[in-house]
Amino acid sequence: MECKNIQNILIDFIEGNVPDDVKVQLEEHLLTCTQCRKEHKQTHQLIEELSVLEDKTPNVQLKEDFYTMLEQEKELITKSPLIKKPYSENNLSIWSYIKYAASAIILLGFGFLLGRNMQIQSVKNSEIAALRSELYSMQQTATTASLSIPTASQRLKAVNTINEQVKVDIKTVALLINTFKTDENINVRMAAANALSKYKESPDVRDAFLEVLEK
Amino acid sequence: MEKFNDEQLMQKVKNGDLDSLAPLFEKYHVRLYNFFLRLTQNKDLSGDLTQNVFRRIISYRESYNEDWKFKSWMYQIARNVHLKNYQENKFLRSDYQETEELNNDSKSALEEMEMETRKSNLYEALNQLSPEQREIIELSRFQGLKYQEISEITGNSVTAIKVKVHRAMHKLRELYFELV
Repeated sequence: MECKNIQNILIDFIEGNVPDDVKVQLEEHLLTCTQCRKEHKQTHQLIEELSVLEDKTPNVQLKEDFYTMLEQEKELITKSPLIKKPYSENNLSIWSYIKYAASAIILLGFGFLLGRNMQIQSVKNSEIAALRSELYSMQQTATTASLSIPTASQRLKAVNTINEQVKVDIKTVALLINTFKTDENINVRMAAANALSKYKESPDVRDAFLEVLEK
Repeated sequence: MEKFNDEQLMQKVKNGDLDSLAPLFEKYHVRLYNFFLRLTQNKDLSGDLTQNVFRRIISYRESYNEDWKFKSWMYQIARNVHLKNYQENKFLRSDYQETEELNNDSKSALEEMEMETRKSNLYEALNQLSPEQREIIELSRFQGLKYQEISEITGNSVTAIKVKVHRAMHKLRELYFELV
């Protein structure tokens, strides 16, 4: 057995996962080769050392967060009328044809109604636009509000969310500048700097960078 | 109560019974948390990423196929979550200090110190590996997955995984014993 082959099976050998004949050959080799004996000893030690880094217990928050999320998701499912049933091929009975026919009729009906509603559509469109802009400003408020929450990782997430938004208003940029200058956590400040780099044309942003660099 | 295996539970989740995710969470969340903790060395973040995995499991439940091993599917998701985080937060630093966590058991102060040195040497060696090598050691050594399972998770062949594990361990051994 050559030294090169030994390296690739040392771990399995140490953990008793090699066939008997390989095991015998390897043991014989180890008796004669000092280099491989050293590698064997060190690998053995390393495997033992790695077990020192035992699993840590996460804090209870993780569990609470999970069950809160689960409840929210369950609520979403019951609210949505379109729960998809698992599709099964054996179900193609006469009923499914009736279902298809029924949906075709419903679709026709929709088409008819849609045609009639075309006139009202433009009014609706402006309503939708208004709602959309309201939603947009709500999103902005939500992310900017989360910049003042206590955990660094949540603030970091908020900064990253802002960074992903295409359109950002002046207020948000000001908040980012503030976070960049004053946040206690270096990672949050770095993320803010990263987000701000998109607005380097703005004099406020440039001033902020200069100010922080001078510090 | 009837006992379901992981795959049956996930199938129930897929069919809209989200409560069936609870036993899967109970079974795996500590492992996932530690998966992220050893890769990011950041406790807050590891909690968030673990939560993200379960959120994705809910969002993507329709795409689960009951022929897949749940565990492999879950680790695939965990890898993607970690990768996405790695790309977004490359500059993120550790908030994790092993020494913070003083064990109040009967070990002497000297033993305690020695243990901390070994841990910090191990972390230092692990940190010098490439992200890919660190991940393969995480999966094979810490998560205790078999070559076959890692192959399912990563899409590499079993032979390729074996070689990768051995190379990574070889490298880690060199780095570690340089420090000791």
